[in-house]
Amino acid sequence: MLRNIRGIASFEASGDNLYKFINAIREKHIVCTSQRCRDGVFYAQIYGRDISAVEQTAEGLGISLKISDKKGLRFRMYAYRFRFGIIIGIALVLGFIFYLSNTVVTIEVCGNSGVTDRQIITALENIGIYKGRFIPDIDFHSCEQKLRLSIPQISWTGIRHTGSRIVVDITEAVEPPEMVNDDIPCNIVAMHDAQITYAEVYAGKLARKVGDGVKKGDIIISGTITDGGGNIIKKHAMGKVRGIYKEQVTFTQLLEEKSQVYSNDILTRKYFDFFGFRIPMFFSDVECSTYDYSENVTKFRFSGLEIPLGIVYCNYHPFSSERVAYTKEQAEILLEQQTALHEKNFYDSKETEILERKIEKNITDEKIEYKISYTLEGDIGIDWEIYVD
Amino acid sequence: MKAIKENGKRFVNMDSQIQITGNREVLVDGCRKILEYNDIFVRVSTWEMTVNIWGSGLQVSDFGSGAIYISGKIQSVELEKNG
Repeated sequence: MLRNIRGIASFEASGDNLYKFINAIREKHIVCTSQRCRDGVFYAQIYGRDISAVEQTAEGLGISLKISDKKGLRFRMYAYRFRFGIIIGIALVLGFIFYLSNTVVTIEVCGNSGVTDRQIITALENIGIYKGRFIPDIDFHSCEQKLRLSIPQISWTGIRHTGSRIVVDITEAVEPPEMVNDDIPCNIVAMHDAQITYAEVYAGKLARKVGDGVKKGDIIISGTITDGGGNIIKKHAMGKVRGIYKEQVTFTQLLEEKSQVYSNDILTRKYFDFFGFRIPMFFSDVECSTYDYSENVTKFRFSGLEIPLGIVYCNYHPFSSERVAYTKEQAEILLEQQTALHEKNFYDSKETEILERKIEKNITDEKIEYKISYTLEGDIGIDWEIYVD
Repeated sequence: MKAIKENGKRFVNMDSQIQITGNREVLVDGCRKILEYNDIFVRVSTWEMTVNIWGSGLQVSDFGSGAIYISGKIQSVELEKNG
């Protein structure tokens, strides 16, 4: 291998002073292998660098020297010495290798669950780690601290690089459980006018029984207790109280309003993702002032492994703000959607059961109004602090 | 005087060394000159003797270290005292 790189030249020498020539080569410590002497002709192999020394020796001793063969990279490359394209190509490849081994090409985030990759990558961009950044310029220790400070949910970060890949290890902070201030004296009072259907007391004294009606603000579980010795003790009342109560909600939908009207065409622009750099694959920019934007990346794969080359699809969905007129049917559909959303957010999520729903419709030329009277069964108790001097 | 010279040479390791590997290679360390050289016979001179190597298809390789490797099918190695 090394011999091939250095280049091997075979030569034939003949003449009267052949032994003088052979010994002169030896005295000059020239590496000379595969020497053979046959019919007064000396055959041997030398390294490419020794050709001129052997030629000079042969000339000095009147030996006829013929280089019969040249092998190896040295001689092959010599023929291409004026092919500047090859030299430029090699320089470019070397430059590219240097670039790839010293710049950030991919960023991987591990260990996150609550905080999204996008949030972390955006925070990294702000603190100076982004695709294309020169890696020796990055102070990883400082960036770890800045990342921790910029995202409070992160308790520990470790940033390291393997070649051009930046790996960000994240440990998220564990949220402390909600603290119940059970040392503050309080009553549980009704937050609606209701009839109690269920009561479960963990601490305190039940002031009303199941089936009783309560007004908003009435004490249901009292935190003031008298012990056996006649002493009044204030403690934190705890319990679960459910009841049936009424609630009225009004939803309004205008028959004409300003709204976003989306175009039917979604414009797509493609970029070639080349090691994190985006090379546009289009000639004209998107000509619309307001749009919804989304993008997705299709990475190329080689032998099942993702490589840092791909196509980025940028989707622009243009819209404009226009006055939109609804028919009464359309407006009612929108109102039903509002109602469903309200019930999902405020009742279903709080285990509040809808016992009855009465809708009173008020239709005018300008709007439709739904006045909904709900009969609900749900939690009616709320902590109410007892102020003690 | 001769004994002192012999012992001195041995002490500084200037003695020629000949190493024969099977019948295919002979290493002559401390070779001064190649005196004769063809396919069947190589004659080399060291400081104190001349080494005659007989064989067939003989080839010499010199790596510039003062030693030569003679390879081929070796039949005999003869040593002649100089002078």
